Amino acid sequence: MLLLLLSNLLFLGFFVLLMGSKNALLAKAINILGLLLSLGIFLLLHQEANSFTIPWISSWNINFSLSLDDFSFWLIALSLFIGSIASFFVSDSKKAHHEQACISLTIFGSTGLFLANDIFLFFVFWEISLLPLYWILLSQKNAQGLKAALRYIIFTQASGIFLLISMIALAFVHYKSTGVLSFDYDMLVKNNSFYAANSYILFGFALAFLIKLPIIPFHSWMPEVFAHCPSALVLVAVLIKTACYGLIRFSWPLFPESCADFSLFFMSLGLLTLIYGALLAFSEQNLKKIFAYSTLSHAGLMLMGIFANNTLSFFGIILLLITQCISTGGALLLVNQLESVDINMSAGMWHKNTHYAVALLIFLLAGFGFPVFGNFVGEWFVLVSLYQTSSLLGLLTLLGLVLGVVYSLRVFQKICFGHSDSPSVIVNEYQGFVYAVMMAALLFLGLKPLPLNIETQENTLISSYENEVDSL
Amino acid sequence: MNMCLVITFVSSWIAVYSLEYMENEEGIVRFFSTVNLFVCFMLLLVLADNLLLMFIGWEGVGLCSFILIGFYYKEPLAQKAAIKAFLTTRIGDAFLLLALIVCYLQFKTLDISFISNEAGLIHAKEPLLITLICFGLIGGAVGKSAQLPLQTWLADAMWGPTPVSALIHAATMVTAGVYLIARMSALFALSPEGMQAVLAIGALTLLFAGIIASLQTDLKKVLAYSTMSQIGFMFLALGVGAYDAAMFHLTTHAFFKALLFLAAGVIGHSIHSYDFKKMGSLKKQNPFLFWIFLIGCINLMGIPFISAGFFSKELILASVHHDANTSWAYGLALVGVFFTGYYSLRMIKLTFFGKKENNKCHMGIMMKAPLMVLAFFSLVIGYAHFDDIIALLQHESVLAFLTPTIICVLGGLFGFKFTDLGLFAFLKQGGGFEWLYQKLIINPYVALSKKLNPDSLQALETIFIRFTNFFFGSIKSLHTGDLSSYISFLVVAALVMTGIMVI
Repeated sequence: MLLLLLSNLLFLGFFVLLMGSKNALLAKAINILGLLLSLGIFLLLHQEANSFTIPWISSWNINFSLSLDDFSFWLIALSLFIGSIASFFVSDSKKAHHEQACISLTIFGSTGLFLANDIFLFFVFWEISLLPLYWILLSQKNAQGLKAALRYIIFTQASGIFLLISMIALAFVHYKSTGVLSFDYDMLVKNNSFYAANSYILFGFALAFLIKLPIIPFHSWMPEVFAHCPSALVLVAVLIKTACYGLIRFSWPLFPESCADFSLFFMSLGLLTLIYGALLAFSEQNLKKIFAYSTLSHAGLMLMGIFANNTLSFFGIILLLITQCISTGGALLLVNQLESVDINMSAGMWHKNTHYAVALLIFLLAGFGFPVFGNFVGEWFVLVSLYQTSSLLGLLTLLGLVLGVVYSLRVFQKICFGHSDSPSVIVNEYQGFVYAVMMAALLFLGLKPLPLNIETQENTLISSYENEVDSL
Repeated sequence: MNMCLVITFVSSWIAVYSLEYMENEEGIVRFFSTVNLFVCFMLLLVLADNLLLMFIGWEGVGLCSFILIGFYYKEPLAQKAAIKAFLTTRIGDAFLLLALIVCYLQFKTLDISFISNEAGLIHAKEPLLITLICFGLIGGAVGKSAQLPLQTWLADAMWGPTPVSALIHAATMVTAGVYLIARMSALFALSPEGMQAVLAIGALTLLFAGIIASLQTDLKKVLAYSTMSQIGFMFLALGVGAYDAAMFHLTTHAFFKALLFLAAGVIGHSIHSYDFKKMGSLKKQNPFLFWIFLIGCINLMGIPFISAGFFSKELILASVHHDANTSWAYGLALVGVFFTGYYSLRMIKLTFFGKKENNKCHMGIMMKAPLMVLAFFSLVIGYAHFDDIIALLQHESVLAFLTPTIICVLGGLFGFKFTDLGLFAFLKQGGGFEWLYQKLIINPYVALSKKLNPDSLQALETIFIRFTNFFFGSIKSLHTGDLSSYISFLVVAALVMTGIMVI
C-alpha cells in the first residue's frame, strides 16, 4: 500500500507535467484530484500494511524499507492536504503545469521521507523533496528570485551534507561496536547505547535540521524564499515540517543521554529564535517576509518543545506542526491575493471585503495561539512540559509568545483597519470554500484534539514514542 | 449564578438601546454580531467549571472587546486603542496561563471544584505553589479588570461605541477579574500573601483612579476611570475575603454604570462629543436625562437607602473596617470615597449646569425604555441585601456606619463648588503610567526591532562568503598556465609525500 502511495505520487507529478502543458486548468484539476485521491486512499487503507522492505544496495545492506507509524501518518495526511490546497491556489499561467508538477514531486519526496525506515533512503528522499522548490524559484525570471534560489540551494545542500556525514558516521560507529553494517533505523535505535560517547554525531544531525527548520543563525535563506516564491508558497510550510520530523527521529531516540545533556542549550536557542523572529516580524514591511519571520518564531517554539522531551510536549509538537502549517498557510494565501505585498499599501479591508478580513483575523488568531484553535492546544502542551523542565524557560516563553500577538495585530491593523483607495480583494466561492475548510480544520483540532487524544493512555502514538525513548 | 442574570439582563437592554443608537451607523451587522459573540463568550466564562474552558471565554471576550473598540477603524487613535487593550490584557493573560500550567501540573486537572477541594492538601505540602498560582491569577485579573499596573487600556477603550463601553467596559467584561478571584477563593483563602496583594491593588487603584477621574474633561473618560475605581472597591472586598460583598457590588455596579454610560451615550449621540466644554445647560432641555443621570450618580456615591450602590459599598467598607489589620486600606478607601463624591457631582455640574446653550437631546422609546428599566433596578436592587445591612447596624455605631456617606457627600459638595483641581493636574494623563510604559517598554522594543531589520544575523553569511572567496582566490592564483611552476609543484609534492612515507 505504501509503495502504491509513493509511486502514485511520483507518477502524478510526471503525468501532470505531460498532460498539463496545454491547459493550466487541466493540470490543476488533475493534480488536485490526484492528491485528494491519494489522501483518500491513504486514510482508508493505512491500517492494511504498515511496512514494506526490499533489498536495494545489498553490498552495503541498504534496504528500500518503508514503515508507517502514527506520527508519520499525521504528517503525511497533512502534507497531502496542504499539497492539494497549494495546487488549488497556483495561478493560471503558461508555466502552471510546471509548478503543479513540482508540487506533487515535493509531496512525493516528503511522503517518502516520512515513510522511510532506512536512513539512507531517508537521505535520498530528503534531497528529492528539496529540489522541486528550487525549480519553482528558478522559474521566477527576476534577479532577486534567482538569488533567493541560489541561497536556498546552498543552504539546503549544506544541510544535506551534514545529514549525510552524520548518517555515515552513525552507521560507522554502529558497525565498529556491533560488527553489523546497517542503515536500518530500528536497528540503529535499538543499539543506541553505543553512540553515547559520540555526541558530535548528534550535533551533525542537529546542524542539518536546524538549518532547515530554520533556527537562528541559519535562517537567512527562508525570508528570501518566502518573498520570491509564487503561489506554491505553502509548500515551504510542508518542507519545514520535514526538518522537524527529522529532528524528532534523529535526536532523542538515538542519543538519549547526549540530548539530555544539551537540552538546555537547544531550548535556549529555541527561545532566542522565538524572540528574534517576533522582533523582526514586527518591523518588516514585506507581508510575506513577516510570515517568514513568524514561521521562524514558531520554529523556535518547536525546537524548545522537542528538547523539553516528554510525551506531553511530543503530543503538542505534532498538533503544532499540523495547525501552524494550516494557519500560516492560510494567512500567506490570503496575503498572496493582495495587490501588493507592502504592508502599507492595502488598508481598509474591514470595509472593502469583510469576509476577507474575518478570515485573516481567524488565521492570525490561530497563529498566535488563541484558544479555541488547535494551535493553542499544541502550545499549551508544549508550555506545560517546558515549565516542567525549567520553570524559568517556561515563563520566558509565555512572555515571548506575547510578542507574537504584537506583530499579528500590526498586520491586522495595517490591512484591515484604516482607509485607502487600493482595490478590494476578490475571493471567489471556491477559494472561500477552501479557506473555510482550513478554518474548520483548525477549529476542529482546537475543540477536539482527537484522535491525538492525550487522555487515553493506550494511545499507540504516545506509548510507541515512550517505548522508543525508554527502550534502553 | 446571579452573574449570568446580570450579563443576560444588562446585555439585552443594551441591545435594545443600540438598535436606535447604532441605527445610522455603517457596520451595524458587524456591531451586533460581535456583541452577540461577546455575550456568548462571557456566559462561557461564567458558566465554565474548568479553568481551561474559562480561559477560552476569557480570551474570547478580549477578542470581541478588541473588535468593538476598533469599531471606528478609520480613526488611527481607535486602532491604537484597540491594539493596546488587546495587548495589555494579553500580558496579564500570560500570567493567568502560568497559573493554569502550575495548577495543571499540581492537580492534574483544571476542574475548578476539584481544585477547590484539593487545595488544602497541596497547601500542606507546598504552600508556596498556591501563592504562585494566586499571583498568576491576580496577573490575569489585573489585566482584564484594568487595575494597577495594567490599567492604561481602559481609558482608551472609550473609543468604542458607547453601548459597547456600557456593556463590555463597565458592566461585564472588566469585572471578569473580580469574578475569577471570587471563583478561585478557595486558593486565595490559603494564601495570605495573595490576599494582601489583592487588597493593596484594590486600595491603590480605587484611590488612584478616583483622583484621575476628578481631573478629566471628557464625560466618558470620567466614567472609565470611575469604573476602574469601583472595581478597585471590589478588589478591596476580595482582599479581605468578603466575596459576597464583592459580587454584590459587581451586580449593582453593572446596573448603575451601564445606566450612566447609556445616559452619556444619549448626550454624545446628540451633540457628537463627550467634551464637557460642549455641554452646559442640558438640564433645562432634558429633565428626564438629568434625573436618570442623577440616579446613576447617587448610586455611585452611595446615598443611603435610595440607591443600590449604598448597600454594596457599605458592606465592602464595613468588612474592611472590621479587620484590624487593614486599617490603612480603610483609610485609603475613605479618601477614595471622597473623590468618588467629588467627581460624581462635578460631572453633574459640568454636564447639566454650565453656561453653554444646548438643544434638546433626541431619544426614542428604544433608548428611553432601557434607561428607565436600569434606573429602576439601580434604585431597588440593593434591598436584596437589606438584611445584611440591618445586621451591620446592630454591630456598629451609627457614626461609623455613616462615615463613608458623610465623607462622600462632603466630596460631592466640594466637587459641585470647585470643578478644577489644579493641585493634581500633572496626573491628568493617566498618572504617568503611559509615559513610563512608552519609554520603558514600547520605545526600546520598536527601536530594537528596527535596528535588527533587515535581518542583522545575515551578516554571519558574509564570513562564509569571504572565506570561500579567499580560498578560491588563492587556488586560482596557482593556475598560471606556466609549465615550469607546475613541474616544481609536482616535485615538491612528491618529495613531501615520500618524506611522510619514510617517517
